Amino acid sequence: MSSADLDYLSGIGGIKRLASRTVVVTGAAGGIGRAAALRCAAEGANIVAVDCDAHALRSLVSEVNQLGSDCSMVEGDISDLATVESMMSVAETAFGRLDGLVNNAATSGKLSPFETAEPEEFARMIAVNVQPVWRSMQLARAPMARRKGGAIVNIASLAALRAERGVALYGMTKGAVANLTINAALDYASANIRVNAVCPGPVETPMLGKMEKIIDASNTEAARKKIASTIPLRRCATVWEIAGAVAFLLSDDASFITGVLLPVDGGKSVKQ
Amino acid sequence: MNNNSNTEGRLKDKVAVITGGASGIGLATLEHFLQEGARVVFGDMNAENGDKVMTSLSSGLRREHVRFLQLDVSREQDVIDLMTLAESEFGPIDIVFNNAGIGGSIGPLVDTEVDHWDATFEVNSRGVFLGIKHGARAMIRHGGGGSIINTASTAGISGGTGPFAYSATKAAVLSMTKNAALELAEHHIRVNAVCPGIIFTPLGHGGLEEETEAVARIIQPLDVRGEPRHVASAVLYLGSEESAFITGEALAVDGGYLANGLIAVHPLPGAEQKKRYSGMTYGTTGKAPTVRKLQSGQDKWRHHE
Repeated sequence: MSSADLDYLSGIGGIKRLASRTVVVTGAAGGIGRAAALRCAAEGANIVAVDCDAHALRSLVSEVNQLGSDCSMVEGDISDLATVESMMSVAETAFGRLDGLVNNAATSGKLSPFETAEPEEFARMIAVNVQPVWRSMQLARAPMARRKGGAIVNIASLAALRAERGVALYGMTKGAVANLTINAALDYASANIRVNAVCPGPVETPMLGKMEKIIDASNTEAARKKIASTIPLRRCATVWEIAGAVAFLLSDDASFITGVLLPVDGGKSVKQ
Repeated sequence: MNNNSNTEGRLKDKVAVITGGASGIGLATLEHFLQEGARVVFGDMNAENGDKVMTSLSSGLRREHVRFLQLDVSREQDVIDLMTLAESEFGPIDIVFNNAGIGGSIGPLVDTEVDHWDATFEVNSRGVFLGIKHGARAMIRHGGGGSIINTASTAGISGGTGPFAYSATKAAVLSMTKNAALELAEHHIRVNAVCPGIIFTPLGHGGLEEETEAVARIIQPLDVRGEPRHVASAVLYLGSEESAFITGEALAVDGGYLANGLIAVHPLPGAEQKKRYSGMTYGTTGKAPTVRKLQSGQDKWRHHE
């Protein structure tokens, strides 16, 4: 773990809102997923970490262990429903309970212009970004209900709420995630399972690099400035700021919050 | 909730101002903020409730970290005095929670008096404007940024969830939240709102507790009784550095009420009675409501000229 990561995690005030809970995090090897897994672990949760990058997963396991929590890894392609089924059963076999689910795994796809995207890309975006979210929520109900409740946080996107050039297919999948979120919130409320989504604006992740290249391939520095200029707070989010929102929504601090799509976007969505 | 062994405190050494802090959501937030290490000045119209809160705080550290000022949030000088008190007692202000509000004008809109409309806006909208204005001035003077949180309501977003004038005042709060967020971003001041749904406070159920519970079971998906602490923990999140990238947002704390589109419009507690009365309610300010019974045919406007 980098010293910046440790600084952040030791600066959260020592809160342990997720003590001894089990949280499944998809796309956990990097970016927002890794930050969410580490944040939850720092708050006392045991983690089931899912990703297709086994090497990065192994280093995450040791980082979670450093924070005093246990971590089981599930290596697999999230678009393969067998991976989704396997991660849900690992929560039960490894830790005997399921309290939280963070659906973070997603692809930005090719970010093709609207008129040139191929049908194969459309299908692939649904398979990676939407179907596993739906399936994992289906499978989470029974184990969460057995423990008298739970919390699901889906990582949607500001692209779910607003149009932006080049992100039509990505935005469509995130719009679907947002809609699955409110419907699951309604259906699962009777089991005291809360379902919310975080809608990040631009975040310092590899996807931001892709966006920068689309905006200005020759000068990514200028592209980054251009992106920041569209955000009232004049910067992009850190992955920790998204992870903080995830931890809040998973915790009992949000025990009366369900069906919410929470932008974490530096004020970008203030403009409708 | 906050029964964790938290030694640091999420608002350690922060200075917070809360309006409407003597009861309900404001009081629960005061307790959360103190628990997390903040120093708090709270204002309330109701001096008796405010004094009661001060007496209830055990002596020692918690008592040392709180001050109370009786005020009317619709009066600019009162709001200025509140900010000045916080700065002189505890130092630069980090958090302002504009929470004071009243149910205000009730009854059919066709019977709503202009005075009642104005009085509702004076507290719920002008009060929030003044809290943002002078809270932001204090933060800009100090230069350290800050977080402003306003209590709006699900009634500010959706139709059919609150009295006519009240809902309009809360929509105004949401509009102020967005524009203040944009204008104050350069000063590193974040501005957000919470939108409580059905919360069991004296203002929330207006004395119709059982009826409110029955309505909640129909319109609110989550089988949880909404309590002030539920909103307070959301305010804590928005007030703390944890939400450093969130500004201009309206966070619903409503047990899924707004997400529940299909049965959103349902008669609210007391809906039938409210059709037959018109007047003004003042929440927990201590001021008695002035309500008159409407008799069909009595009001001039009902007759064709």
